[in-house]
Amino acid sequence: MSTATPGSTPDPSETAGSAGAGSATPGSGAANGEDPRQEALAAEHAAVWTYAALAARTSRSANPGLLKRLEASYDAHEIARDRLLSALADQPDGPAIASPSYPLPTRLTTPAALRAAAADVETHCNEVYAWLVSRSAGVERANAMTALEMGAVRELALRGTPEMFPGATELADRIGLDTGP
Amino acid sequence: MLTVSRRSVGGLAGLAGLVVASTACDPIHFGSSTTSARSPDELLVEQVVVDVRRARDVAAVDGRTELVTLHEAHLRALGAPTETSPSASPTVAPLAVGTSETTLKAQLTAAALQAEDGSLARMLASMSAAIAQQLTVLR
Repeated sequence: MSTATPGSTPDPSETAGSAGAGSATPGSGAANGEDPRQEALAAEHAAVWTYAALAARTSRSANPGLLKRLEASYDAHEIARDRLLSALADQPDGPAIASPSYPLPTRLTTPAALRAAAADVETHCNEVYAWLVSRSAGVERANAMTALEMGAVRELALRGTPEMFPGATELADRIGLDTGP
Repeated sequence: MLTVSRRSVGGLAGLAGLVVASTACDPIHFGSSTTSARSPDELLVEQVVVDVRRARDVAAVDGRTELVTLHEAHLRALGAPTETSPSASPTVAPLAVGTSETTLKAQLTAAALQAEDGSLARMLASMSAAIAQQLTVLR
């Protein structure tokens, strides 16, 4: 198959720094020609760490619904991370390594802030998986699509509003949409 | 009321140069084909446009304006015209919206797997994910 036209599909490693909580480690991933799944693994490392941090800041008694959602999302990302770790185990340089920590928003003092931070994690992962779709074929593309879809549904639960192009929101700009926040 | 969020990212080139709709009625051109023969991706897009229009028409008949808006956005991204009055389409079957959207999602997933161009695959996968969100809302 042909790969994406240069410049036509954003490289998530170029926008990771603006994704807020859950961003992949700057400079990680497939920008240097390594397996593009490494970028997804880096995003999953960040997601697992960030969800754990968010859950730790969530009151089990005051916000049981939010905590349940965060824990379920943590589990989903942990499974995705482990699947990628296994798939990339035989890579020459091994699978991408998790960072000791990842940036978090400074004011995680309300359920809304925790929810927004979690949604940002999903947004970034969705962007990475959408990008991975463009760089893969066959089973790997199918896996990336499944991850994108599951992430989009999680993001919907956190943000409350569906999107036009999950993981590829710049497409809405390209066709001149102006439909809301 | 429209409930679909755009959440602008901005600054990204998107698929510029890849999707070309020369006029509202002309065929869409994917890839670098310069001959009159259509590429597999061009044929794929033609079929996807038919599929999305069908789902849009079902949603329109059912009064699902948010779904109509979504499908028309997807049609524009595919470079297809959206002028046809959905309610006037004679091809609309009395399908449940959920069934129609589920079918469309499967069609988009299959198309994304089939696409040769990576950017086209990404767009179709994103469209499929958007339908997955809508199905969650419908449930």
